[in-house]
Amino acid sequence: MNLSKYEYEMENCFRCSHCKYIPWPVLKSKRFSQVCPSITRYNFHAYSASGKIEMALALHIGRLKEWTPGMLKILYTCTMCGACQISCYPNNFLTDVEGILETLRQKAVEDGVGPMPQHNAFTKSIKEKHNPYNEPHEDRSNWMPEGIEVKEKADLIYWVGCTSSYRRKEIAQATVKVLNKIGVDFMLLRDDEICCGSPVYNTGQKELAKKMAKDVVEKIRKSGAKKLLTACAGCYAMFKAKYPKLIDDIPFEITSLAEILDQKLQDGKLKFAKSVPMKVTYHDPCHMGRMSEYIPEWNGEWKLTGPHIYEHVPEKPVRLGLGGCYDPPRRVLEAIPGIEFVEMERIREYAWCCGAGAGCKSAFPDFALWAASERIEEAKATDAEILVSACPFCSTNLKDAIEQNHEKIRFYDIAEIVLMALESTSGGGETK
Amino acid sequence: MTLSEEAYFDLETVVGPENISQEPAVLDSYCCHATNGGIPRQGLGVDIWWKRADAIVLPGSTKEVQQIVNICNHHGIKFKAHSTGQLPVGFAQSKTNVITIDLRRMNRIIEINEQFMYALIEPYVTQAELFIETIKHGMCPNMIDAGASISPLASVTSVLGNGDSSITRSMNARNPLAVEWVLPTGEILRLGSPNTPNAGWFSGDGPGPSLRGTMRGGLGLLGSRGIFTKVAMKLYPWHGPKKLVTGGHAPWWEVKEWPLSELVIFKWDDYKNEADALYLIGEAEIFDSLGRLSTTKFEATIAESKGEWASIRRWNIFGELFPKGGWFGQIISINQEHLDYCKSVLKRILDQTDGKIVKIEDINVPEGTKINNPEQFAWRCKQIYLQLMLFKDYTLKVCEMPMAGTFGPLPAMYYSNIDTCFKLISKYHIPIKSKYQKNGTILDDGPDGIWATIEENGHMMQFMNFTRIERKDPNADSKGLGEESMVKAFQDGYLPYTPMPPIERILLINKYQRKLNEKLNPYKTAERSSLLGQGGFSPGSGGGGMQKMIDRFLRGRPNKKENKGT
Ligand SMILES: Cc1cc2nc3c(=O)[nH]c(=O)nc-3n(C[C@H](O)[C@H](O)[C@H](O)COP(=O)(O)OP(=O)(O)OC[C@H]3O[C@@H](n4cnc5c(N)ncnc54)[C@H](O)[C@@H]3O)c2cc1C
Ligand code: SF4
Ligand code: SF4
Repeated sequence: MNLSKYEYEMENCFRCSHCKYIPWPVLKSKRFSQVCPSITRYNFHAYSASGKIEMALALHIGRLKEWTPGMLKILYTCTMCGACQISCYPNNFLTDVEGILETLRQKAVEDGVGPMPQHNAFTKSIKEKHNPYNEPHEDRSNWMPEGIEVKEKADLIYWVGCTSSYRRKEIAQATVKVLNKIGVDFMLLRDDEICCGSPVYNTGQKELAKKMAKDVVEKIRKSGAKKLLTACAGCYAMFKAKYPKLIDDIPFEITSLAEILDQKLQDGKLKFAKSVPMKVTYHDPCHMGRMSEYIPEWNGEWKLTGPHIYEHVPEKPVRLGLGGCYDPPRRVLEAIPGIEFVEMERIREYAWCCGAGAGCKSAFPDFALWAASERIEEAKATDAEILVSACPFCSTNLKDAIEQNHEKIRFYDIAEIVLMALESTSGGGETK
Repeated sequence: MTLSEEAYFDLETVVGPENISQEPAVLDSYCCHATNGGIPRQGLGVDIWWKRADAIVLPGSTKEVQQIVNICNHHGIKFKAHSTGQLPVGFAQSKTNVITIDLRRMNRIIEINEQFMYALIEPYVTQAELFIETIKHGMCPNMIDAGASISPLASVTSVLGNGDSSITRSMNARNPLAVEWVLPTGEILRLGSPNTPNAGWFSGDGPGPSLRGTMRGGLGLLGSRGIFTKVAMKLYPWHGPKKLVTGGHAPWWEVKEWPLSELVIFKWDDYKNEADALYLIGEAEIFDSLGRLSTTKFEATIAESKGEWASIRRWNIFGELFPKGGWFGQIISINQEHLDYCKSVLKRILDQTDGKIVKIEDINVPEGTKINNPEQFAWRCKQIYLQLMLFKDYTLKVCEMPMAGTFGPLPAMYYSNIDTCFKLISKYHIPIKSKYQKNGTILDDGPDGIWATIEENGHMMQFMNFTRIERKDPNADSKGLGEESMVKAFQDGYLPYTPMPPIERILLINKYQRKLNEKLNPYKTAERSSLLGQGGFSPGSGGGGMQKMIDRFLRGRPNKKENKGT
């Protein structure tokens, strides 16, 4: 992967360290000022976005001649959460941090040194068994509870995802129960469902991800679905933000459970009947939030357009996190009677990443757990009893941290909370 | 790599294997700085890269810092303190046997003392963090204009220290109280009160030793005299809200204005009137923060992309609106009466000196921006300047964006009384810069790119004239501008970065500082400061660059008549 197109940008990181912190105008306390799990955990500047940009430049110009295990650690203890991009850009609109980090990973793969051995293991599993967990493909639908009505044909397809299928079955189960209760028809790919390619793409294996994206889209096209619903943030971002970069035509819309519920609430077609008396806070999964925004591939060039005026032509689109799904889950939670909703300090497009993403949970499990523990501390600071999110992978990591640290706070996926609000003794949620 | 295995082992024993590194990629991230590619365009010709240090260490406590310094002395290794590392001189630059001590793990706000109005902090507390925590107590630090992420400890102990808030909160040379200092000999020295039982950190001058001048002098000694591990930073009253109401989205975050605050922009058509008015403004004590504005600054801050900036630049409305710059000030009042008073005093001063208020609402929406209505544009401008005033967000856009910004003609950054500053602006900055703008070697966005601040509501001003250069332009060359202005300024006895011409005085200070260095840094292990790898920055910081510059230009002796000093 060629870093040349980023040369000017790589030379223009001013080492201002904004990429280490949440955007300063929204800072509330010193305790929760940091935004980059990687530099916060490892402290050497090389672990910040700026340090990785310098590493990319050093490799590009031949100052660093070859990859070392240390460099791979720096590269892969980054969750590709995109927070650095949101903090950097308003102050330095020369640097496409995200583009550089992504390209550097792809370069590591092309150079034959990446990804990490643990990533190679899950890639092998994906290739052979269509899931990264080395589980038999035939068990993929084992999560399905009794008594769920699934249509043979429907406009909406529920894309379960590998993590909900094998590891966080309760999320898949709650999702289908909720859909049934609110009267939304859906179909499933069942054993035809395969990994969406997110773990592969995010560890730098772009070509393989492209191939997988083609297969997946073909399967969904064949199903005739017009809309794809997923309750997995990883799949959501992959479909919404990465697929359009990998393949030309995606013949279906993408949505999440939170968005479907929110729409029903807005339309007055849903009212939660049961009170869920809990103080709740919400963790924005990076892949539901800033990373789910589609940023088209830029194929322009840097040009001198006047004396001392050098600009990208055409203008380069950049990620600002504006297109993320932030409000729907919040509105849904706030609509549930009894819930007292409180915000953490690092939220929405400047949320702290749980630490699991982009292969960190498999290759650097201690780091991933540490990042999750940091999030739990933030949730605890709100006095919330329940931490809610909308991602089975965040769920795994956050639950692991809660268990490891013997925390009192409990974790639920938004589907589980909504199910509680619908499963009232008086007949569940009202749908019109 | 010249560090011996034994030395590495000793260092590792102190900080633990997780906190020391010789990984080339780690070392490279401490010897690269884009700023190097900007400023040296004045003629120094320095690359953004320089020689790697032999190791980076991350101590977690004063004790560890002390042990590291002792190891360095034992093995004859040079060391350099690094806080947030925004300034290229914060890195080890010697060619051999040198380590960078990154103080990132020492990042606590240890105490916020309301009674004696100080915050006791460690090196890696950033100034935005300190601001947000101290306003909760109705106090705030001086916020230097370098940006939100810099270390206030580095600023108050070691580097310059001015910003828009200096008008009320002084230059940071005056803001360190008690200090904890690991001397280059490895001894720990606590300046001022902390060694007196139960006295706390309220004073830098006693009871106990007072060595503030020796510690940093006026401009800071850039790590050449050991490592500061704690400082009690003076705080000032804050009359704004204890909690800011914030929101919005990137790239335009929102800080809600509050009723008793007012942001005002004003300008003069004449430097003499401007100088007269600034004295009056200082005496009237009406602003919380005050900073100078220029076309360069306005265009860079309000753009949200490089393309937008390019359109605004071509449009040149701000060049027409601020041909001789302007000022933006924030009034933060204690009550409505006070606010009205401040505004009416300002009006009176402007009336007396032919100054004009510029209403943002009256400025046309720049062509080529994504905004298409005046209200939104006014909102964007107000937010930018409010956030610049409060916690220095967007400073980097001003200094470095949308291309390398140099400091402009020499004396590049000057610190003197208001009249002298304007004399220098008229004599060197405007004519020399205009000449090079006309020949196309630098961007022509008008000769007045002056950024300036005023100190302690008094008569001192600091300024620099931002000069933009795009290195991708084949005509790009600020060498001519740099050299011509340097020769002229030196011939007249002015030096960059110094408040005290003539050169004779600087030479004296240098001599005295060199003697101090010999005593305080006997093993020469505290790495001298170096400006962009070339040596020298402020007198006494131990670098050879300043001395070399002086020697070089002593051939053109200062014109004593011209130069009265301050
Ligand atoms: C774009 C830009 C704009 C700037 N604008 C301003 C401005 O408006 N006003 C102003 O006052 N300054 C300005 N500066 C300089 C600024 O003062 C420094 O960037 C800042 O104060 C230093 O903080 P830092 O944490 O980045 O320090 P570093 O870069 O880490 O260090 C700066 C210097 O202090 C020394 N140092 C750091 N920590 C310690 C320590 N604990 N003990 C001993 N020595 C130490 C270092 O060795 C180095 O020489 C600007 C710099 C840049 C690059
Ligand atoms: S990556 Fe961006 S935010 Fe980080 S140091 Fe570089 S310019 Fe600053
Ligand atoms: S993507 Fe996330 S983890 Fe990686 S450098 Fe940026 S902020 Fe840090």
